[in-house]
Amino acid sequence: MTTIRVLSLFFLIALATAAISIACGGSTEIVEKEVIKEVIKEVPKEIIKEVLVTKEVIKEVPVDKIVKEEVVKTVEVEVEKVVIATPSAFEAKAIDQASDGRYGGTLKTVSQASIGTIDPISSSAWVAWAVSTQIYDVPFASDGSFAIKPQMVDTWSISDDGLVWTFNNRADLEWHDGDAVTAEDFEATLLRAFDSYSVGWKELGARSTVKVVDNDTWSLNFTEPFGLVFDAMNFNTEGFPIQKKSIIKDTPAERGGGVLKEHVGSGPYQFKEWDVGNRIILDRFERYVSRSDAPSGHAGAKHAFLDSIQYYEIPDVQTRLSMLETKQVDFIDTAPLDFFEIMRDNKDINVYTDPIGRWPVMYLNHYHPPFNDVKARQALMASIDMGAIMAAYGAPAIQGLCPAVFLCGLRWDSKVGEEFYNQNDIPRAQALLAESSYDGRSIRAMTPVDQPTIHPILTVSESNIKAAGFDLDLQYVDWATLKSRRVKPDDWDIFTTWGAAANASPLTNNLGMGTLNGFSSDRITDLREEFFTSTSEEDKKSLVDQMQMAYYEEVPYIRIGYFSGIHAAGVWVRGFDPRALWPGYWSVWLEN
Amino acid sequence: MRGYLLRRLLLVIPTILVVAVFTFGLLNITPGDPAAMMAGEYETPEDIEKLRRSMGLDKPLSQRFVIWIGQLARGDLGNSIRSNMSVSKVIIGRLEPTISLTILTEIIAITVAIPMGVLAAWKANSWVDRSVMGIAVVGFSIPVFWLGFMMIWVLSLNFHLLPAGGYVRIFDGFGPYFIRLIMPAFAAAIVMMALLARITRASVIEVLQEDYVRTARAKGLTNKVILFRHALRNASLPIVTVIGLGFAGLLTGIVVVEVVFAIPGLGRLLADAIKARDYPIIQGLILFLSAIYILVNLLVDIAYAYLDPRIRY
Repeated sequence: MTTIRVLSLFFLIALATAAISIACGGSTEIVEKEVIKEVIKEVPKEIIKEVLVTKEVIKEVPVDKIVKEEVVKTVEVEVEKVVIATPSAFEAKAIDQASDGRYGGTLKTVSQASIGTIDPISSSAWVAWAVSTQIYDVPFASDGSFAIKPQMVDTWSISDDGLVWTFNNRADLEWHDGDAVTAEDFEATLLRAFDSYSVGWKELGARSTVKVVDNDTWSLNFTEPFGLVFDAMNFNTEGFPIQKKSIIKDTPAERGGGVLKEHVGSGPYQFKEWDVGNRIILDRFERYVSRSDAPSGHAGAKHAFLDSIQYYEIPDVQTRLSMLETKQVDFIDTAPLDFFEIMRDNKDINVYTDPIGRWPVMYLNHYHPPFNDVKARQALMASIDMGAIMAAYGAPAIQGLCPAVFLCGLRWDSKVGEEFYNQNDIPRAQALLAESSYDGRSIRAMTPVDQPTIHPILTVSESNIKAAGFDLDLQYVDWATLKSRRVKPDDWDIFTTWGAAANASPLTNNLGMGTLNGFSSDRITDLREEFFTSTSEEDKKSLVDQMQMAYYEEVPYIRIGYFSGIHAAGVWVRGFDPRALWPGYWSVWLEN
Repeated sequence: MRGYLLRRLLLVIPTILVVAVFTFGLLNITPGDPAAMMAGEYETPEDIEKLRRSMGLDKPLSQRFVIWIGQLARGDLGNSIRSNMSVSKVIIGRLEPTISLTILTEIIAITVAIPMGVLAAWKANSWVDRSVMGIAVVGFSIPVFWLGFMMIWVLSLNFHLLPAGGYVRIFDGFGPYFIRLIMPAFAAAIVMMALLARITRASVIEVLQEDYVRTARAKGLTNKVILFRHALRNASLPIVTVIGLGFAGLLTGIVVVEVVFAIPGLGRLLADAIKARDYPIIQGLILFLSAIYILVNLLVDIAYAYLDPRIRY
């Protein structure tokens, strides 16, 4: 068919030329030379069509050179032929997406609380991390068994003296706005984080300097060996979320004023829209290049099956559950514990427990009596019935006891000192209190009534604490009041809260030193310093045992047990990996 | 009238100023500290002091007030401490849900309550009157949050008739937008219905005892004409007052409904800001709502002049 058209065209042109020649006259001999130029355009095999393009090219020659006027007419005929070409990485991805039934859909998830910011370096709030974990990628991240794996970093090396750690980034990293991620972005992010709230980041910043080696290479330079570089870069198991230098530059350095206004990351999802108080929308970042290793926890491949993720703010917990049951939402981040059994028994809902859990804790004020006296602290610890407190959290499946100060079942688990855990021994508590300098003053203990995961700690312990001999003044406050008063040392003696993954490492868990409670210990300080500079795993374990013993003897605070955070999802939500501390949706897809 | 309007509008400025002084003063003397709210327990007192400095909270109260008033004069309500977003932008973003819910609530309340009140007044001291007033008492007594949850349980979970909660903006589809407002509007309207029905009844009963109503009856006018052309209009002043103040009150008082049905309105914004001690949001929102109250009062006064020709300003 194409040949016929070409020939037809040739005939027409020839005719036209002849006609023109006759009309114009002249004695010049005209020789026509036709060149048929076949232009091959590569197209995917699915696209087959015929397009005929003609192009006439006339070459002019000077009159005195004319012996023969050669009129060259080039006829370009576009012929579309199927050519098996190697698609680019993104084309291949598009083809994969089209054929893989998991791609597509919008996940509607309910955020744990009201979202104030999604800048994780300015805020330790759960919701800030839960959203930003999809937007920002990290140099290293924890996998499902909490082993630290490279993410944005490709390779790294350590100098023989252990003082220079050099990191080579993957070459395919790209910001959501199209710019390439460079080592300068890593430098800017680390410097910002070093001035932030994390004990681990601050520790790393105090011991090292960051240097940019080249576009894709950066280094941490230490003055003495530091055995916890990866741990420090892996705060809360998720790591340093790398942010763009140009955006950081426009943000005031100090905290409070230092909240990023733009949210440009390099992760699998990009920020699209924030309807404050209602929802945040993230869209898939099409140019994200995932790692190829298997997804696990926060590490490995991140497929981004979903077109979009929408985070909804729904303050009432009953309404959240109702909206999940009516399929208005697909996922609830941190569902209420007292709904655990209702959700577990619902055939349309899957319940997941988070991997580390939350750890209720009683903070004691070391600034003034009675808890500036170690005997009084030991007396209080001896009086607590931790089993009774944890039973108030609900079903045995989602709570329990654990004597390890750096969390049970994880890297720094230890059994040392466990005889001092969960004593529930009133006579012993009375004896210890008698040995202390306690003068019978009223103990102001704040319990937040609007925090169901904190409130049981003191309300269940009240009778035991009084039985031990303390004059307990249990004050029922709201969370905001508690937070306001705890920064004023003269305003409280005990307050309660819970901690999470930061407890898991001696790097981030400094056993309450230098914080709001005014506790300090040369013994623990020396042990931690030895731990930081040790490069022997065996020595580190021994030091952990010693730190745990120091905890039980010096009682900086009293950690109770643990309860699991629970997430709830409709059964149509597939691929969710509960081993990520913050719900990661990068391997999630929606069935039907 | 024009002079009256001008005087009322000019009075807005000193009124807002007084509200600003009271709001700023009360917020800063009550317990609570935005820096403490943002800090975690791993932060040192020095960290928190640094935070306070970066927020400007270390400045003297008088200096902070002057800075804030200066911002207000420029129309700048400041930035949210938590999100660093402009307070004006945050408030404007929350206006649509609250106004939508308030308007629908008022429509439902007026549509149901006024005929109920008129009927009760017409059949005063009969079983009809007692039934209507009984329903009104029940309406006063039902906790709004309980009613909300019951409606979700019955209409969403059991009969799958309506969505359990959430909000869709009007430009994202009128159907989804409207269907999500039905239950919350009914829940919010119950109390207002009860109040409006009682006010309407009392007001109409009073008017029905007037001489001109007796004259109208003597002239042979129908009950319908007597009630709705003569009595209701003359009884409308207190009803209009309740409707107007109810509108202003719903803008913030509807927080329970907004929480139960997950509607991102002004009531929830204020509650969240108070919990987080987000001073710029609290201050900005109180000023905004004060201005709304003043405006609503003015509109009610204008309505008086329209409804009662004897009232002239």
